[in-house]
Amino acid sequence: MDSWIRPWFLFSASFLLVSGLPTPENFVKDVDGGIDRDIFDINEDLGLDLFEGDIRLDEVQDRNSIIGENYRWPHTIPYVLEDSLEMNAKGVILNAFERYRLKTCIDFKPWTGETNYISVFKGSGCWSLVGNRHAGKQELSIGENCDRIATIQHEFLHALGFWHEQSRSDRDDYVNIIWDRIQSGKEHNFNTYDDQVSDSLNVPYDYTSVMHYSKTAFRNGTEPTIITRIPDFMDVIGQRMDFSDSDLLKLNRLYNCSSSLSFMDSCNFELENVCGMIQSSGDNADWQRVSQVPRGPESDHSNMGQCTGSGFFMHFNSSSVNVGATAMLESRTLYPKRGFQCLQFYLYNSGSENDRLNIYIKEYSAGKDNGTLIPVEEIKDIPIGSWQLYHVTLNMTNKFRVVFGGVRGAGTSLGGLSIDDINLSETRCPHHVWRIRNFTQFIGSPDGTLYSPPFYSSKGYAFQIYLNLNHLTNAGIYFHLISGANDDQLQWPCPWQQATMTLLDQNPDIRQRMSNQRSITTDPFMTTDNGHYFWDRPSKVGEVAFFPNGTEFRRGRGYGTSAFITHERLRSRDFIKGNDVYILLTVEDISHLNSTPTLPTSVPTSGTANTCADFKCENDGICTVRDGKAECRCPSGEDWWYTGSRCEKRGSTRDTIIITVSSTMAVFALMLIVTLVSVYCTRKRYREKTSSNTADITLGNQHVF
Amino acid sequence: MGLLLPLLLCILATCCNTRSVPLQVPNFSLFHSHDCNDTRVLDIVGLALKSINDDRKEGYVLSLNRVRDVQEHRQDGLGSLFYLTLDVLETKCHVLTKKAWSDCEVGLLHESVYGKCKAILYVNLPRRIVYLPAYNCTLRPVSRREIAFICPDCPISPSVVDMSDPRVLEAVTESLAKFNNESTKQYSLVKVSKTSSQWVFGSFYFVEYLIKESPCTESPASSCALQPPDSAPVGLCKGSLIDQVIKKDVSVTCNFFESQASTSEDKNSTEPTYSPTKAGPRGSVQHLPNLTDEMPEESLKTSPVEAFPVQLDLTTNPQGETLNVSFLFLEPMSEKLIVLPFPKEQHSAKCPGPAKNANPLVLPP
Repeated sequence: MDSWIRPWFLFSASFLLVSGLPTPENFVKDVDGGIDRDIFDINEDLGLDLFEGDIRLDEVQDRNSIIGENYRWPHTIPYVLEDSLEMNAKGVILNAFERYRLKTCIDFKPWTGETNYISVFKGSGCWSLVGNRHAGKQELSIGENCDRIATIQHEFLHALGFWHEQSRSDRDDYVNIIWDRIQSGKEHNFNTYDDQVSDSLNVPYDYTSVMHYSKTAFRNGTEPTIITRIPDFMDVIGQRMDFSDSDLLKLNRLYNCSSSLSFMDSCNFELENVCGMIQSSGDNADWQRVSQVPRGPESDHSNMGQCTGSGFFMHFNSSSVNVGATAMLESRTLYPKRGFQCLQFYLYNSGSENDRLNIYIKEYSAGKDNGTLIPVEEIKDIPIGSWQLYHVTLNMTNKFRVVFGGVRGAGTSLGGLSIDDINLSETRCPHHVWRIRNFTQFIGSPDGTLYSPPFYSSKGYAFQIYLNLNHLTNAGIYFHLISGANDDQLQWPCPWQQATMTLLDQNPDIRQRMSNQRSITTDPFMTTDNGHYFWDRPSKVGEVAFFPNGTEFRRGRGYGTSAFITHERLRSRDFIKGNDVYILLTVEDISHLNSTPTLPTSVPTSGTANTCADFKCENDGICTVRDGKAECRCPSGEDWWYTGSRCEKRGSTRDTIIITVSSTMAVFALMLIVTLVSVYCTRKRYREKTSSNTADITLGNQHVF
Repeated sequence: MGLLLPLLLCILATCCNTRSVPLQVPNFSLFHSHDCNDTRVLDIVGLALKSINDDRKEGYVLSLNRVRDVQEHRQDGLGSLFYLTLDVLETKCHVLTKKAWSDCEVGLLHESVYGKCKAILYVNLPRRIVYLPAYNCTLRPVSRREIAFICPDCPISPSVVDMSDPRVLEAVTESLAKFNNESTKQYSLVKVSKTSSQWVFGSFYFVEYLIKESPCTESPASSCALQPPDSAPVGLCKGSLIDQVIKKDVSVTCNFFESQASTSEDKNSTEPTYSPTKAGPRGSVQHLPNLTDEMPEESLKTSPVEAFPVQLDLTTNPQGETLNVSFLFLEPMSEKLIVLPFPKEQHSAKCPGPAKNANPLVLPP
């Protein structure tokens, strides 16, 4: 009703000056100008952590009475993504759910009429109530600028029953709150909740928690409001990258998690049982578990040789076998649930340039006890002399084994192939990987303006990533569309492609990785200062640029954040490992999440499927869209039908007949009773009357006569 | 069948008889208590709230949460004076939007402002007169401590708009500058009506403020010194400032009020029976800080001090005083009402009535 003016500049974002030579000023756009929210993780094993499980969630006074179970959600939480959400936020929320599915036993499903569910909408700011309030629709706001994965994880942790880490009752043992530096009226944000209402689940205080405030929270000036008792943690608190180990421990304890939906296996070969992997029979050689190979690698990838007496990997010595010889290493049997998997591992080649690694699947479909060996991918041209990350997409629905097949290629070999840090999960592989070698030299350096090689999105858009490291404290990251071979066939301005850029934490175990991720979405309506569409065709609105080989191309404006991560956090954890950094890139079409199917130019996409995606009709009802809202067309037969907004109620002529007949009967019976009663009453009264009348008449008669 | 009708009538008559007998008449006469959930009472309360909201020039439209008490004082002639005590909730509509309170949405729990109103309403149905001689309200924001406990990240409003925080001022000026930058007309600030803030990964500030048209079409503010002092607010803006230390983000949306002329015309044509508005406000709305800030929890329960003090006495004379309301009548006549001191709240089985939002956080004790 209100005619709120909603200018494009909602996407605010002032322009960042980029001082690197190749980038003209104002040519990248900052989505948030962020601040670093990373953790330079000191020691995850120190992971002091708190978990507030048992919570009093009632609005009433009695703090001690209601503890625990009532405030838990079921392990699969029903949710609704409201139309008010920004497109990018919707995509990021779904990515955040994937992190829950990988690392916890919490899963999410679109709401289908369950009593309690979480309604994610765009309110003012980012917030959630603590725990399951049994309110039916429980709101969780992901407002403007809240569309960051860790912020969404944080809010859902509130919903799952956690307060902030610095609210646990023993926090004064670990941090000092400087009350006179807190903005007046905000002191309640630093309240603690005692062990009557909040359970820390026997997990130590966690400075690295994604639920911990940073030192700048609610400060009234420039001085920190929180001082950690261990000074090393001053810049650790307030990380917003991913769950810490203790966050996961607490969540998994509270919800009695024993497994997750999408995690399958992780192996760093530190244990002699090599995670149950076996050597195939029928090949020519074996993979050896070693900690060093004379020709390389000098150390494993998990520890990078930092721990004496440990640090193992699997090695296939191709120098000891003839050309064409193979060595097959099989995983144990694995049982898929979701039907899609991503296998990732590090590979080192110290043999011949022609040595290959073949990835196979041994699938055990019904009736085939020995399994069928299916080739999946052939990895060739493996660079010599460094560990390199590989991803392989699988689509298994039956139980299977992963098989690593080393093949001795032609040419001289003095070493061989080595693999380490294998992770298998039922997640989507990144579409592209940008490996940056000799990384540390770029940090804070004038040369630290790095452009990725060109990539193509699955829809065919060409793009490039720009990583800006020459700022003093922060690294920025930006997504650029560039001119590409398919541009004539593509839609412009580029509609609703979500680019997810992930700085990979190269921890050997995928469950412990705290990768730093940001996503942006191409809004086809967005305009630049000069009135052009921001995401219009780069050959039209872009600037001339050159690839290292001298090829000319056009580069559109960059959109991203100047505060992707602080240099300090960038140097923490395993972001830089072997002086290598990996940026994982996925660009996918998220227009199916759009509830308003309008586009600025041409192509009126049908919103039917989209609006109906979250709206389930029961009993084979068909979902249709009317006035932008999903409705169910319910099936009906000759003498039966379904009704209700989701076709949940069944009706039939027989029911109607029964109802009609019985109500008619009831009315008839009632009328009969009334009639009988009145007849009885009248007759009684009439009789009395007549008897007195008779007397009168007698008397009268007497008079007369 | 012919016997049926009389029989039914008989049954009805007996029913009515038994129900209409007692109608409790208070010992001390004068006042008649009513059932707080009675539809007629709710109609009268609705009219009273409408009059209160119409009378106000600032703040947000109040809506009914619960009827606490209704006392009727029948007057000579055909009218009655109603002494109403209501629990109210602020809505999201600014009073200048002139929206009916029933069309306005109440904010989320953490944004709630709630309180108590007392109102005296003259209702003369045969002459179709409704007149609000006086009202007073006392409001408080919902307890910050309780909100921080239930919703640790929720943005929190200060009790009273506090412009001393430089970042609140910055949020207003920068968001308005942004709006002006995108707009053909220029607007300037009238008054900040609401602020709130949160910290998530940076400081988020949210502000709401009234704007008026600025005579200067060029942007430099210095040339805009000469402004007609009477220019009325034309719209309400919502702005936000997200301060992430390294960089700040500003956003703004503005909503313009429907023109005053059309609404008043509207009023005349559709509701000619309502009283002509008398000059000057007939009451006030007082904003107090949130309860838990003011007093510790223990004293809250035991304290003899009323949490939501509302005074509304047109007289202290127990016999009452006269109030001339002749101006309400179209034909020249003299009509005087007897106004009594505001009666004490009567708690009974029928009062207070049911609350729309029964959350104790937004119900005055």
